[in-house]
Amino acid sequence: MKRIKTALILCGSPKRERSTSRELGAYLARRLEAGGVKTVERSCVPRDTLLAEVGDADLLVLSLPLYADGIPARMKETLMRIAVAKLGPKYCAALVQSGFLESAHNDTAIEMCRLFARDAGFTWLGGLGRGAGGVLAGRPLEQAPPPLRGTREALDRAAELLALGEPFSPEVNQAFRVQPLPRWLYAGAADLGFVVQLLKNGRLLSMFKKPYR
Amino acid sequence: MQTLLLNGSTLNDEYAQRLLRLVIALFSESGTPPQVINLEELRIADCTGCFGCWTRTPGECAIHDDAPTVTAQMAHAERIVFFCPVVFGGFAPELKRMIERSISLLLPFMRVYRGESHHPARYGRQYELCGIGILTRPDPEAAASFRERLRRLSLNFNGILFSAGTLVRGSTLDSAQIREIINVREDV
Repeated sequence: MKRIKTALILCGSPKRERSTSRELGAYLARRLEAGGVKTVERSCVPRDTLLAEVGDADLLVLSLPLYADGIPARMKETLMRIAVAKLGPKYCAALVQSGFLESAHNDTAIEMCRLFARDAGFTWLGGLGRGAGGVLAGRPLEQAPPPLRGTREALDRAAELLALGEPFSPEVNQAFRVQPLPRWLYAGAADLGFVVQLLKNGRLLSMFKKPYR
Repeated sequence: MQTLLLNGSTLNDEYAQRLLRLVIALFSESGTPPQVINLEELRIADCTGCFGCWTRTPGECAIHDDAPTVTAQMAHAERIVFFCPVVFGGFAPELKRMIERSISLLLPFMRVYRGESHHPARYGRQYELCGIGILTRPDPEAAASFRERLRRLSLNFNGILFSAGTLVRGSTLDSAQIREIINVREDV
């Protein structure tokens, strides 16, 4: 067991605002800081100092949205640069979230994060995956509705384990994966949200448009 | 069957180009040669996650670069072949970027398919996907991940069958092995 002193949370979302991945990472960063781990948050926008900053951290946490069933392309390029840089021993973990209800959608991306850690020579502490990204919708986790209380508690415990350099426990994994809403309610709310957006944009009648037919 | 091959390898990757020529020849044996798109030659920006292709200009990406042209070709294809080096058990970024930019092939709504939430196909197509990956060294974990990657993508493309396999860079190009990757189809 090694006490972690510094951490870097790398967010894979290309969104500038209302990013659920950024908020989950930010919440974890606050919990790590509260536990005495000096933590910085970074995005995958190319920057000269990123490799040095990752090199300085004891722990690298990847926080990413599921994009077409995998790691977003830009983040993957960033991870390739980190992997070939051979930055020395380090711990690594991942938080993956998607807009689908079921957390199982994230499992392939979590495995890819594990393979990144392996190729980079980092010690893998595990990946947590959750669905129903639309429930949090880019708000700070402290302001999240009651169905996400379990997510908050799971991240609290995850931060404690990460600070000690310990892998995520099956209990934390399970608590993070819990579906916060029944399928009919989540799917209904998600569909309604898209219909409202289409209506606002004056595109409701063309929502099934097939421009490439 | 109308086959579209998205080449996510670089043109100066000699092994990949030799493999690609063989793959094209083997696909051509069973009918029309595949249409090949070399992604390296195109200008394709990152998906910004704006969902404009679902809510502002339904079916069309809001970013005007080369990606919409490729998406149009994907819409017409019956089989899509993903060809690239394997990176962390998945697609190379150049290919992954194009896949991300093609979500307008799906509708925003949720429906249950094979026991999970998925998006229905905009064009009512059940694409058949094939993945051919190049590993830098023998790596059973990355090979298994690549195969699972194709299965999951097929599910999200509303597919029924998929085929996938990997070759180790530098290994002898064996037509029988590649034919097996192409032809042995699995249920998603």
